[in-house]
Amino acid sequence: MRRWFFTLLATVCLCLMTYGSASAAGPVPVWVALSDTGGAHAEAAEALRARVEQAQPGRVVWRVAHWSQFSSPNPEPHWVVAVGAAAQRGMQELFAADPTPPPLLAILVPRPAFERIADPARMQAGLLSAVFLDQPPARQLELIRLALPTVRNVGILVGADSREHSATFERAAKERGMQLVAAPVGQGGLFAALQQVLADAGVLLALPDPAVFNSETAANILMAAYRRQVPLVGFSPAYVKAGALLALYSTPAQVGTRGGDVLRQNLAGRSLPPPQWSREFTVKVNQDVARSLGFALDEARLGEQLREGERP
Amino acid sequence: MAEYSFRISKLAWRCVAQAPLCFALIAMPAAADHAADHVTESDYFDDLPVVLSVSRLAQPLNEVPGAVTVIDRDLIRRSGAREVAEVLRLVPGFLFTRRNGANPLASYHSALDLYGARMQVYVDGRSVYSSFYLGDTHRGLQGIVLEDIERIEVLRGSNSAAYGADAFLGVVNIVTRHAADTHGGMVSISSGDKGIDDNVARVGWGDKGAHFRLTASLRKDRGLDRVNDDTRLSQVHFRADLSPGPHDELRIHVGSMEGGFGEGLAPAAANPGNIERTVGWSDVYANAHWRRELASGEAIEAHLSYEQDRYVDNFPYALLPTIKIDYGGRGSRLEAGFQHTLNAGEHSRLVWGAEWRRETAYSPSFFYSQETFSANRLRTFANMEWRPHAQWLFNVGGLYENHNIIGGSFAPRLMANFHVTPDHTLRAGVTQSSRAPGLYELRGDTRFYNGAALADWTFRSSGQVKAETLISNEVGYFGRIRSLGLTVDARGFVERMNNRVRFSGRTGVGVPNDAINTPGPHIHGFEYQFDWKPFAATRILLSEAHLRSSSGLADETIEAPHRTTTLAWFQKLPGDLDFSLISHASTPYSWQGINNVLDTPRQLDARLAWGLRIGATRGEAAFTVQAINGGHQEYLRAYRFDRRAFATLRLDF
Repeated sequence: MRRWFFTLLATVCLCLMTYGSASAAGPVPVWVALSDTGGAHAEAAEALRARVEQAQPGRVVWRVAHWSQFSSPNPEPHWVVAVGAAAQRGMQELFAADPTPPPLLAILVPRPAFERIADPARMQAGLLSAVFLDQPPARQLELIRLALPTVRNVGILVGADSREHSATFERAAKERGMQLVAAPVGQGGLFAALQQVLADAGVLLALPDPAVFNSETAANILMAAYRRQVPLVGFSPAYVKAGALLALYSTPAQVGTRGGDVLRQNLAGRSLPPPQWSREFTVKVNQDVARSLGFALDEARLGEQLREGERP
Repeated sequence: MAEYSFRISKLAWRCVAQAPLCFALIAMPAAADHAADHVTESDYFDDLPVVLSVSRLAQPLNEVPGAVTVIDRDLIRRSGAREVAEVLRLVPGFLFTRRNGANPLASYHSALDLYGARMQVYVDGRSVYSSFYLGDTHRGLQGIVLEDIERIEVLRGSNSAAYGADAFLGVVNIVTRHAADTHGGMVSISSGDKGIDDNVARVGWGDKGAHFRLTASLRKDRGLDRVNDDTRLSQVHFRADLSPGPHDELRIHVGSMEGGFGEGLAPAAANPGNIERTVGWSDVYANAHWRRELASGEAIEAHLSYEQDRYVDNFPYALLPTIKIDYGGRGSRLEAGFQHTLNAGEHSRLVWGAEWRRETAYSPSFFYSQETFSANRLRTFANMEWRPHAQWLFNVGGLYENHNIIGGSFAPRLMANFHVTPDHTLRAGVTQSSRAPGLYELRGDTRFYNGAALADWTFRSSGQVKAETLISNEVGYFGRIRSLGLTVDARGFVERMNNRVRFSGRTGVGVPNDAINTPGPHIHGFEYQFDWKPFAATRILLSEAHLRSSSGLADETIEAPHRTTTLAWFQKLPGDLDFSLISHASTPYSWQGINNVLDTPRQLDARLAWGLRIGATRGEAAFTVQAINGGHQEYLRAYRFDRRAFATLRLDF
């Protein structure tokens, strides 16, 4: 906590220090609204700010605070960056009555959360975009293909929040000659769904959905998959620590850096590119689990291969 | 393999005593309901407890101190086997036979005994053997429903240091499915030749921290042709998996088996003391196993189990019906133990524990006494896993057993694993094991009376028999060639048995047998298994052992076949079809002396299955033909295992 406190303090000090000098040279006022003033949100905001400052030092006048601190839309900033879903919602509501709102870039928001909150009209007008926290289905399946080349059946547990995305996965799987084994977690409960999916799947891909994967169910899912010798691919470092074979995720800094790039490239204008995933990501392997399941995996090499494959 | 062993304490008592309370608490639905929540970034940043800690993970096969074959449930199902002992044919070095159709049995390396007494069999940590007669495991192996098995781990070799004295020649560790993995219903019906009529029904339920399963099975068949060996076996098994706390697991098993098995020979006049009849067997057991994860890498486990078996086998002597023969009786085992796994320094892990076991036998006819005989064993064991270098792994361990009748014995073991590369491992080691004689061998006294007159005295233990010992030297290799989808395990060995316990042989009517020690065979050879998955839908298994037994006795030398080979092909076909073909063959060997050398037994089994899906119901319809090649000699030259076919329908819903 102390570290984040000092990070925040430094950010605030920097903002205050740069305010006067930048304004003299036609500064761009940017609000950075945080869902939480510490932890991952502050880390992402700091990475974003650092990226912009690195390219255009002093160009931006930053105002970084918890989203609830922005109580009035005036004086209207040139840009608004919302870090996290709560901040995105807060900022959308703040400028709801404004017919010409400033462009809003949401970062560190999972795609399902972004799409649930997003105002479609503003999206169409190029006034709302995002750098997602989650990973594109193609990347996730490509990692499975690289790490577990013999696996053809990819299992997913589908809850209310992940249902609409299973079609995207289905398509991405087909393109790679894989088969998606989706089990709905519904009336029958988690264990019936687990039994169903683990019977056919060679790997279980965890999709973020608090109705399916949460701190209470994670242990049961990990244990059940391990008993069947089915590796689990998680979406956060916590999963690898807990016992997933692999995880693919973007760190807050990676998402923030990408957000910084988007902001930097569009700073002069007033519109945004379409929502996108972070280009940078991390692959993590639990070597104890890998050994126990008989896999030999190198996380650095997997990350490199995955990046190589995504290069245009 | 130390992880797979199961040991005990007073804590287990406490657990069992509090089990109803635990159950009531955890069976209530937890208050938290996430259904209304949506994904936010906090799902990505929330911390999770470590679930698969190092002590919970199974040891990788290249780090196991010994040669291990793992047979999972897919393989069991696809093998078409109806018996656990039959599945063991897939393991290099295992011999399989049927003393008659009602008595299937498996033995490692040599046809040393007819009851599998020198092999250790665990079912979910419960040591399955009978203390009533000769410590046999073969009946206990029948008391398991194949559909409930998750996997069978077979340690090829000797490991008394980790498993105790019964782990003399082979350890078969059967792990049944976790109750959380068998929710819902399942029925399976098999019907076919030779009266094959197998029925299994299962129901599983539970939620979050409490899972339960109840399995019932009724199996029948008529065994071999022209032999009185019908089998009728019914069994019920209950398993509960409970999580009383985030770091605790409690497993409870309760079960019962009851059956009738054909025995004896015709005509009665030629076999007056072994006429055709049905032997009754029943068994009840209860087993609790508790495990707590301590700080990272540490775990304590405790277990408590009780089992009782009863045999009913009485009939008149055919030539003089006033002589009543009664081979019935009962035995019991009570066992309690604990084990503690901890990190001892940066490069070492230590497992230590203790186990107490009391076994009893009651049989007025086998012991010529109304007394219940008992033996108490107290064991302490420790194994240190030491990794001085990334490539080297040493296991040093030992077990001291104090047997209240025959005294103390020590079984040490040293194994080294050298990882030439991460995928290629060499092993070498030496193990000394000792096996205490059973209660019958130590205290048996079998007499037959015609009224008040002694008609025959067939056995009388002098009580002088000592424990058998076995020194096993081995080298091994475990390798993975990932580009070919090939896994190889090979083991070369010299197994020197001393003080083999046998019966002295009778010199005339009225002169009783005794249990005596004889020098015992020295068996050497090598064995290997190739597990090859050349394509995603194809799996080929080759298990082969080359053996030589040297002994001064001709009947002992012929107990080990020069070669046993199992070649199995498992093929998934389009349209949810699944085909398997298994060939098992041995060079001549004998279970019953030099006059009964089996003439190159060969068995070819084929199975074709069709996977069914009707909504949420899944299933399989299968057709299996055993001995499709026409049959072979089984156990005795006069017995034949003939071709038989059966169909199976299984539904999971």
